[in-house]
Amino acid sequence: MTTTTRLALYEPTDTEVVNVVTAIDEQLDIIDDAAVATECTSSTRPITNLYAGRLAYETDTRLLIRYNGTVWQNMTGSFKRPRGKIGFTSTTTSSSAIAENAESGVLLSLTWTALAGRKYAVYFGGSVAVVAGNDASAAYKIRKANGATVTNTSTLVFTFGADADDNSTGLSTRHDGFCEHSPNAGEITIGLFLARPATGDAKTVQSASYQYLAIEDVE
Amino acid sequence: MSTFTSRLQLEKPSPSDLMSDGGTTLAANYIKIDDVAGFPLVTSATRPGTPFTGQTIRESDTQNNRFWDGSKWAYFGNESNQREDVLLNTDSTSLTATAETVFRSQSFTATNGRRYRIDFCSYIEIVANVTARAVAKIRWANGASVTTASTLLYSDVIQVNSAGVTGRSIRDFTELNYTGVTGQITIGWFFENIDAQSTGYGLTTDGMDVESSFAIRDWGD
Repeated sequence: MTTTTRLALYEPTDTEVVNVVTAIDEQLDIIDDAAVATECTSSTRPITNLYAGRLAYETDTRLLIRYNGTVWQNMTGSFKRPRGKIGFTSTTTSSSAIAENAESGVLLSLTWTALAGRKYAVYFGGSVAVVAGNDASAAYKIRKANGATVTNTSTLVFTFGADADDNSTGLSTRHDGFCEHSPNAGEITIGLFLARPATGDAKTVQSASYQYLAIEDVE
Repeated sequence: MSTFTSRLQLEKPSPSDLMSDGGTTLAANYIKIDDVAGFPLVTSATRPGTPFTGQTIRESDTQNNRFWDGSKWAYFGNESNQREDVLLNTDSTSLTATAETVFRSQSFTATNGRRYRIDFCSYIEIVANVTARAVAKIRWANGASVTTASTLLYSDVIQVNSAGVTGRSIRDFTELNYTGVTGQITIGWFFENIDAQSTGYGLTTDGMDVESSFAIRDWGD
């Protein structure tokens, strides 16, 4: 009689008259027990038919474990893992100056293929400089669109107060922010814009200095 | 009479079964074994309907490798790795205050030995008078609430000018290295105006509604 190398399944010979129970039923039990990952607890880990690569799942610790040929090692946790960087872009080129009730951009944008059920953090920043007039209200805006292009009429995701203060060094004020977004699956483009509200004044501002846009898969 | 294995439902013939049925039975068993070998490709909408504990799948639409932990499709990973967010949200919450007041807060179950990163950003504007120093603070406490007397994690001053015209923004983060008993804690984001002038946090700027973000994430051990 021979057996397989890993699960030690019974291999009858060509001429052997087999016993159904030992040749089939008991082997099926072994296959069933070892299928994919054996269900066990931390105190009832498999001790027979061990082989490097065998998987088991401990119901008490909720850990998937793998036998490395010597010991059992943890493989998992029951957590949805962040996947990290999706994209990053930056510039030091100033945007065009914008007056009240106007929006400049897209200043920076990133396009990627969003996955179903994922959550993305959008990080952005830049300096808002006074071009004409003095203290001026403004805001950075994050917009999104399906496909490869985003414009200042695309869906608004986030608005972040980013006023220009002429008392600031160099007449510009630094603003950094972040927001979240959970888009539908498929190609999507996120863009950074600078806007001024409808104030009725003659002030103009621009996005200047170091500006960046980054997207990270966080859940 | 045949019986069945508990997980894959493989049919085990009895010694009295006719051998002419054996081929059909074996073929059906092989299909069941084949179906679960490795990481069968499914989508998040076509996961196996009657999984067994330890069963693995690969979702083509989400690119997730998952396994059935007995109650849900869990994720693979390393225990030390960063985990899913506790909170990551943005909204138009606003506050006008002089004394230290909670702006946003979040309760969750903290795990002993894990580190929690707290990110925040907002817009701050003077409501009355000309200049003021606003202080952003992050505090935490065991249980479901956090107060101005709770443990201080972070504090920083923001100078704000020009009432009702130009505000300042704040964006920063800090960390809580949690070494207590695993259980509910609350993290709060507070503002205080130390010059006792009325200051607005996350208000509108010239009619433009601005937002704030507050995020808490497990970022490792």
